[in-house]
Parts: sequence; structure tokens; C-alpha cells
Amino acid sequence: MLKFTLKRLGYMLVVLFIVVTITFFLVHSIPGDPITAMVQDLPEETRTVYLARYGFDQPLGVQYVRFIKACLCGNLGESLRYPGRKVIDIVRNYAPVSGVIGGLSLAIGFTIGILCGILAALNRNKWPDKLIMVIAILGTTIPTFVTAAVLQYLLTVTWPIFPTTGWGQAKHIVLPVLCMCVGPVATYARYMRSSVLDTVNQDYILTAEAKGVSQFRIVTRHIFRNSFLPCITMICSSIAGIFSGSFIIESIFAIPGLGKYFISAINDRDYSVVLGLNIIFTGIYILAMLLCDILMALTDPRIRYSNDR
Amino acid sequence: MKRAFALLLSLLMLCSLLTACGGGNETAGGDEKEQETQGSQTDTPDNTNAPDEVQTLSILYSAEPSVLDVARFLGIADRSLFYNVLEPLVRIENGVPAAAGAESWSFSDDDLTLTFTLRDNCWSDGQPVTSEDYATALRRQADPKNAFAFASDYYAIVNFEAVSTGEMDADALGIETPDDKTLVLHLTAPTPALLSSSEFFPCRADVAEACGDTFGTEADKTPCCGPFVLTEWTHNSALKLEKNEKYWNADNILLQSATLNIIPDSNAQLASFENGSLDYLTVSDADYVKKFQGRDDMSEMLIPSARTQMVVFNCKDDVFQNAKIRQAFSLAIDREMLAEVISNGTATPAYSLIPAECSVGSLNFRENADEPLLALKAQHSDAKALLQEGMKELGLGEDTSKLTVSFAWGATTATARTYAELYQQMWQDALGCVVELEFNDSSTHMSNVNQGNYQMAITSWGANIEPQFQLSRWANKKGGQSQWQNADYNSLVSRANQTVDEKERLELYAQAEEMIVTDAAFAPVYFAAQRRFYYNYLQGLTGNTFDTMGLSGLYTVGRE
Amino acid sequence: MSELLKVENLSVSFLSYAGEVRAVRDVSFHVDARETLALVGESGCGKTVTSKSIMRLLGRTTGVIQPGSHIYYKGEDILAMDKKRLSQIRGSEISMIFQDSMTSLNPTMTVGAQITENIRTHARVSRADALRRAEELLRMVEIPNPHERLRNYPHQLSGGMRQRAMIAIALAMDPSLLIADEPTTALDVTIQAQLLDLLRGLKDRLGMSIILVTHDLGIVSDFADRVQVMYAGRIVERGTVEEIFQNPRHPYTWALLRSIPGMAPDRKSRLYSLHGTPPDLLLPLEHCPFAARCEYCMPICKKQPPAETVLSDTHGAACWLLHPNAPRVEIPRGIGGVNRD
Repeated sequence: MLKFTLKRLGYMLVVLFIVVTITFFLVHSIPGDPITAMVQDLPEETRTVYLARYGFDQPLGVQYVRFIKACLCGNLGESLRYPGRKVIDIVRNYAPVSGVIGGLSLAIGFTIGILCGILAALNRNKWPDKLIMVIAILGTTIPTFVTAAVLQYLLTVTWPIFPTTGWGQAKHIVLPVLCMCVGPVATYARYMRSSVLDTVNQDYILTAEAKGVSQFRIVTRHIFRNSFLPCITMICSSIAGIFSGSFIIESIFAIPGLGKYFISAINDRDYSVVLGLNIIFTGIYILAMLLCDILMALTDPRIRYSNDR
Repeated sequence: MKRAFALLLSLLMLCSLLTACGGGNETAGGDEKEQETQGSQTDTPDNTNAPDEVQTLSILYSAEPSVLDVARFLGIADRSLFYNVLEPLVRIENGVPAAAGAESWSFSDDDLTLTFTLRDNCWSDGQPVTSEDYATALRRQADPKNAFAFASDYYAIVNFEAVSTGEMDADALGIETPDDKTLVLHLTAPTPALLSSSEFFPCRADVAEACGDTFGTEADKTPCCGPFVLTEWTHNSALKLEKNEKYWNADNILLQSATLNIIPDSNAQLASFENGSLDYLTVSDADYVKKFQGRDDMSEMLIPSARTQMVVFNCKDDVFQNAKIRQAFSLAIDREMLAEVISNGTATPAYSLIPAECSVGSLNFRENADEPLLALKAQHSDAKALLQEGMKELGLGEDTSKLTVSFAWGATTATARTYAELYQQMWQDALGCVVELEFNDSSTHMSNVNQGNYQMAITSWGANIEPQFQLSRWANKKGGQSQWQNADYNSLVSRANQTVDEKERLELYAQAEEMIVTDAAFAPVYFAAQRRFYYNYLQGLTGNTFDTMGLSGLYTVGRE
Repeated sequence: MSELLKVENLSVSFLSYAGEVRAVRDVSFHVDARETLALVGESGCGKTVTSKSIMRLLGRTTGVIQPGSHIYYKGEDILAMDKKRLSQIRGSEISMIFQDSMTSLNPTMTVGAQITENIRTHARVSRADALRRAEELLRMVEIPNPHERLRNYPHQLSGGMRQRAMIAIALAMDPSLLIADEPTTALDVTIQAQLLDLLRGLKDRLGMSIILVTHDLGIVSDFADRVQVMYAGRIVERGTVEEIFQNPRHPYTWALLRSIPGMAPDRKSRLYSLHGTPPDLLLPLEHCPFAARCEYCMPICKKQPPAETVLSDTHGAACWLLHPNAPRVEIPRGIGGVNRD
């Protein structure tokens, strides 16, 4: 187990390095630079001074080496668009916000989705199944910004129950989480439904029935446990997405999250932030994948014991 | 039964598809010109009650401030925050410079020395505001390490340019602080427009040094001496201002607190205003404009932005190096139509560069200078013929249909495409040539234009009170974004900048404007304005374009 | 009477988009205590459906047991039982083992857990006691190292071991009747023999009845007491092992017997195979179902289904050849015993 984890961590670092390198060169290939993005009318001299201060006048290769060296020292750079703010601080301040919304919506969406999926599968082709599948399709196809805009108008203007925008209190969390968990509910409901339908047709369910096991126990111990395994893979990649947040939700509800920050940084050509956040997100993603592998190994005995016979 | 249901469902879906295609609230169709109140004080229509007990405001703030450090900020919007939390030497009130941090000022006889006498004012922590604070700000702005983006605004100060490019040391800067209440600026040349175009804020040297790079990144790292104090700053979300009791004019300020909300999404902004979370808002969406005009608890005001929407021509381009071709394209623009359609009736067609709000000293510029394009239009009634002349001069023949030019737009939304297509259609119809469109996001667009990678491009520039600011853009070595290099123009503008006499100055500016607009370095299209809606309980909103009073004059009466 | 199980007029249909597939058509038989009955036939003849119907295990399929069917276990009609009683019977009085042990065992549960699940469903026993009993059972089915095996997962066992584990699960509560649905089909020949030996030993020791469902007549001779041959949802011949092997009377039975490799008299001759395919069970088949493939088909075979001719107390066959007016037909060479009729 330990060797397995260590090997995976090793691969992780290699992948991280490659991703960071590619991003570096990609970001610098976009026309425009941070100062022009912000201040239209800049005298050439100031521009030169500005670029020199941040080292952008150096050839790309030199910049790259300096960047890698800085990363290894843990210095992910400083924002260009917001002088004085370090990327690490930006992550520390904004990530929890995205984390709360992303985490909550994932948790709620996942739970409701899984339950709906089981319900749908066990009542196949009857009205609960049909209703849940319609909701799931709507959830997957209706774009987030439509749901968010509609809900925002309905629940803050037509019936002013919630605040339109803002952050800081519990009431600010409700609408964003509501909008964001539509996707996971739909996805996990469909996924779980097909997984359960698969499982239900397995022979070992018949064996369990032949043993006289109660329907309840068949659902909980045999069907649920075995259908749930494939969903673990999915939730791990969703976990990776929690912190990158949803740009759309954060923009519409004016939430100071990392997703919005990342996209704005790209528009502003804020190289350091883009690169720094990219490293963080890639790292989180890879960690989530590793977590997933470990979880799968722990929960599915076929994987865990495949090496010893 | 099932079949009937399925049929009904598909019918419903078809109907929804059709209605979705029909509606489009972004292409404005402004039918009636609404009653506009231009730049006047708001007055409560009926009950002039006493101001409310609790005075608080909730308004929209355009974007997260870059950094609240006068020497490092990058966004033009950050300035509006400075006017609330810091006290500049001079504020613009009702369009003219008024005493603020400085009680009075005087120019020397040769107009090369400007002396300010400061009034008594305190920082929110009790420390008095001294001339040293204003000097610190200027020194930090000149410091090349800070890479101050707007350093060119202060080049009038002796050695400011040299210091900011690193050629000279900081002590060479032409400023003096003989005592705590006196600040002296030495100018390279007489600069009559200095006070109306450059702002002078103070900066606490001790706090700046203690915080280092993080100065101005948090509420507790931003010292305040203005009418308000920044008490809370939730990044990317909101800022909270509270009245500064130690402000010299605190007695005359009714507002106790204000929340500045940072809401990037326009639908969210409109929803927030509609349900009362925001007290006023600039609205451009045609449907919402109608909706708000129909509400009794809201009023409307039209605020000119002093911003000229224009098409810049690349004068180094093979085609657009020819003045006649440029003039033809400029004349072919149907300014009335574009102003009406694109701005939903808020903009004014522009036949000149300088908007109507600009003035030279006490004289209004536009009232004293004719719009140059009107004269050009009278001269050349047929734009297409003019184009043909230009083409012949370049040896491109007479057939305009063989001419293909590109027009770059700095946005990629659907609305942007519609607008660009309007221009395209207009030119193709009037001139018979082919116009290709190019769309990029704003950063790329800006970069392309600055580097001269374009033929025609859309852009807009805001003016300051005096025309100098707007005209100077093309008066540098490069010739501005159009790369229109004209030595006569440059010398005209620099002479004008140094002319103290108002009438002379105005005359010189008028000549310069006439030169550049007639030679069509760019084609002005319209002067933009904004439609602002506000709730009736809000008092003190002026529509003055250039005023820098901040929120200090606002208060509410009768807010439920 | 020592009739443990009595199946009367069992008919099972499956509802498909094409129509009603009548998989089991009016089947009746019985199983006595301590006896082994073999249900033989090719794929699709209805033997598996019949065996599953006994415990009403058709729930996940669209199979419906038609009204008028009865299955009496010790006098009680299983088809009329409520769910609770049915659960009580399943696993403890009647048990079933299936063909594919890999898929029939829950891959995420240890072998021990799957055995104790059966035990603790039917009896209030502590986990420790249940595990002890499980170990005992594993020893009984001759799995080496039973103590370690309790903690193993199904994929850690070989095919033969898994099948034994299945048997252990099935026998946990000492059932009176064990239904074995093709238990050796997925195993290779040597393991097959071992497993059958095991089953035989257990049967004797525990005194239980077995219904063995198989398509392989070869394993039946050594193992079963009585044999029933099914075709197209009907029982075409029934009898004791001796009767079937020495005096088979139905042409289908002859075909099955001839198909057993090694039964041919002449080593050099080709392996016999019955051509044709079973009939479409959507059709009502108001005639002898075997008519299309029968060498001895007569006109009446295509018009009317034959009734069962009783040949002895235990032997019966449904064939027009046994009608007094039918021509005499010889049992084909190579099958049947010395005593020919």
C-alpha cells in the first residue's frame, strides 16, 4: 500500500511539472500583457519600467527558469493586477469560499442524486423513475447561468426571500448552493440509476434472494454497496473541481471565490495568478485522483487483493 | 391518449423555440426619447422632509480595487474610492476646482511655481495631515520601483519624468515642503490645466514603509483622511465605508455609512437594484429602462460620460495612410443612427473630439469651437467620390468594390457582433467597398491596436475637464494609437498646454482639434452618456460629469 | 406420503414485446424425501425456469407463474405463501445453488460473511457462533484451511472452491431440498467429478433431496435416482435412472443419449448431433413439440400433442410412437441397456 502511494505521488509530481510548463508557455503566447489589459493609455517608458519590474522583458526561457525556481521555494508569485497580493494569500482567502459552496453543493447533490438514482432504479419504468429521469435530463441540459438567473430573479425580486448578491452570512449561501447542486443531482442520479440497474441484474442478488434475505438488506448491503463503487470515481474528480469553483455562479451571485478569480486573471493577463492557480488546481486534481485510487483500493476487495492469490 | 400528450408536448416545445428566437432585448430599439434631466441637482418632487435618522447607502462599485495605494493602483475606478477615503488637495465641484485638502493655492508670476496652503485635517488615527504626506505620495508615484501606471499625469513637475524612468534620483524631484502646511511644486512649463487634470492625494510614509508590498491591500493597511474611512474590505465582494469623524468638514456630511457592492454580472446588478439592495444604478438594457421608467419610486437622470466613441485609423497602414480615404470612411459614418441604436438614445452624435462638458478655464469649449466634421461634410457631400479620389492617389484604381478593409472590435459577445455589423453595413452601403470584421477580447484588442496590428478599430476615450488630456493622446512621438505623426499638431498642443490665457488657449486647442479631426486620424462617432436610475429617497445626486466629491453630498429622505 | 415437493400444473410465461413466451407448459412432478431428481434438457427447454419457480425466484425477470399452478412443499402451497413465510423457507428449508459461482457470489463480501448472512437471516445467533458454524460448513464441503477462507473474497478462490463455498452457503441451515442449477457446467471435468462426489456424500450424510438441473445426461447416471427429460417447456419422458438409460422410449431421449460421447458402438463413427433448433415458445404449439426434429415423425405428431403413456409406476413418455396403433420402432443402436422392449 505504501509503495503504491509513493509511486503514485512520484507520477503526480511529473505530471504537475509537465502541466505547469505547458501552461507557462501557453499563457505567455496569448497576445496582450497585464498592464495593457488594465491601462489603455500608457506611455512607453512606464510600460518598459513596469515590465522590467516583473521581469517580463527577459527572454521567455529565462523567465521560465526563474519561475520554476521560485515555485520550488514555495513562492508562487505575486499578482500583477492586484499589486501587493501574493498568490498564496489569494488562494488562502478565496479557496475556502469556493470550497464551502462547492463542497456543500457536491455533498447535497451527491446525496440526493444517489438516493434518487436508487429510487428510480428500483421503480424502473414506473412514475418515480420517469419523474426523476426528467428532472435529471433537465438538470444536465439547462445551463447553469439560466438556472441561476431565473432563481435569482424569482427568489430575490419577485419574492424577496434571499439577498441578491453578497457574502458573509448563512443566507448568502442558499441560492448559490441551490443552483450549483442541480448538476450533481442530475449526474449522480443518472449514474447511480444505471449502476443499480446493472447490479440488480447480477446473479448474486438472486443468490441473496434465494437465501431468504430481506428486501431491505438486499438493497442496503448488496445493491447499494456494489452500485456505489463506480460512483466513487466520479465523486473524486468532482472533488477536484470544488475549489476551482463555478465561475458562473460566483459572478452571478457576486461571491468572492476562486473560480471567478481564475477566469478574471486570464482576461487580465495576470500571469502569476494564472500560473499559480493552475499549479494549485492541477495539484488538487491529481491528489483527488490519488485519493480516488486509494479509496477504490480500500473499498473494492477485487482491486485490493488482486495481487495476492 | 399517450400520443395526444406527446403531440401537445412537442407543440409546446416548438412554440417556446419560436418565442425564444423572436425576443432580443439587447439590440436597443429606443422609441420615445424620455425626459432627461441633464446634470442638475435632484430635488424631491413633493415632501421635503428632514433627512432620515439612519443615513446609509448601498451602491454598486464597478470592480475589485487593484490596490488602494496612490502610487501603485492600476484601475481608473480605484480613483473614485480615493476621493472618498483620502483628501486630495483640490476637488472638482460643479465642474471647477474647489479647495479641499488645500485651503488655497497660488501660482508664481512666471507660472512655474505652484504653492499650496493646506488646511487642518487629520488622518483617522488622529495624526494630522501634513504637506509631507502629499510629498510622500508624489515621491512614491515617481519611484520607478512602484511602476506607477499614470506617472505621465505628473510630468509637468520638474524632473518627474526623469525620476520615474530611473535617470535621476528621487531628491531631484521638483517638490518642496518648507513647513507642515505648505507644499511647493516646481513645474517645467506653465500648466494651466494641472489642477483640473491631475489629482494630488496624500500618503502616510510610516504606514507604507511598515506594510511594504501589502500597503493598501486590506482595510487595516489603508490609512484614511477623507470624508469616509474604509472599515471593511471583503475582497471581490464588498467594501464598507463609515463617516470619518475627524474629517475637517465632518459636520456637513450627513451620510453615516455606505456599502460598496462589487457585482460583476449585469443581471444580478439589475435584480439588486430592482429589489432595493442598491440605491442607484446605471442602466443600459432597453427592457429594464422601460421597466424602471414606469416605476413611481424611481427617478432617472442622464449623465454625460465625456467619453468619445471613435473609430481609429492606422495611419501607417497601406490603405489608411491616405487622408482622403480616412476622411471618406469618417464621413460615411451615420452618426445619428449609431448613436440612436447602439446607446438606446443616450449618446449624442460626435462631429468633433472634445465633448460638450469640457471647458477651458471658465469658457465652455464646444460653445466656442465649431465641430470640424460639419465643415468637412459640407465640403465633401459624396463620401464615395472622396474614397475614389484617395484610391486613385494610391494607385488602387477607381473601383471601390475592389477595396477590402478590416474593422476590429474589442468584444466577442453577440451584442458586439450586432453593433460591428451595423458599422460594416453602413460602410458597405455608403462606399461600396468590402469591410471584414475581426473580434477579439478587450485585452487582445487593446494590444493589437497599441502595436498597430489593425486597419480600423473601435475604441473610446474619456476626456478630462480641459481638452488637453484628450488631445495629448495623439501628441506623442508615436502619434497615439493612430500613429498619426504630425509635428505641427504636437507643437500646437504643447503650446496650448502652456498658455495661461483662457481665450488664447481655447483658440489653440480648437485649431489642434480641427487639424486632427479634419485629417481624420480617427473618426469620432458619438459622445456617450449614461442613464442612471435612483430611488426617490436619495438626495444629493448631481449629474456633473467631472465632479470628484465622492459620496459626501449624498443622503436619504424618506427611505422606508 | 413421503412427497417432499409436489409440483402441479406449473405454467410460467414471460411477457416480452413480441408476445407471451410460454416457457413452462403444464409441468407436474414430485420429489420424495432423500431422493435425487434430475431435470434434463437442452438450453431453453424450461428446466431452469422450472427450478427457479419452485422458490418463486423469478422476481427480477418478467416471468409470471400462471394461475392454476401449484407447488406444494410439505403440503403448503408455495405459490400461495406470503412474503414472510416465503423468506423463512428460502435458504433454510429449500436452498438453491447456481451455475456461475463467480457471478453468483457478492464480490465485495467475504465468503464467511455470505455464509453467516444465511445463518443470521433465519436464526438468532451471535456473529461468533455463526462464524464457527460457517467454518464447520467449509470443512464439510472439503475446503482446505477453512479458517483463513472465511476471510477470503470470492475472487480469491478457484472455480471449484467457489462452487463448494456456494454449497456451504446453501447447506448452512440444513435444508430438506437442495436445487442445483447446472452446478458443474462451468467447471472442468475433473473438478466436476469431485464436486459431484461431494454432493453425493453430503446428500447421504444430511439426508436431503436434490433437484439437479443439467443438460448433461452423462453425469446423471451416477448421481440421480430419477430423471425427467424436458423439451419445449414440457416433460417428454420421466423415469428412474435404470429405466431411462436402459429403456428410453422417447425419440428426444434417444437423441440425448446418443449425443453422449463414448456411447457410440463404433469409435470411428462421427459424434451424433441432433440437427434443428427448439421451437419458438411464443407459439402455442398445439402438437408434439419435437415433431420438427423427430426422425420418426408421423402426421398425427404435427396435429395433436401426445398424452403421457404410462409405462410403469415410475416410467412415462409422451410420444405417439407408444400408441397401440403406431408402428414399432427400434431403439437406436448404441443406447439402451441389454433388456430391450
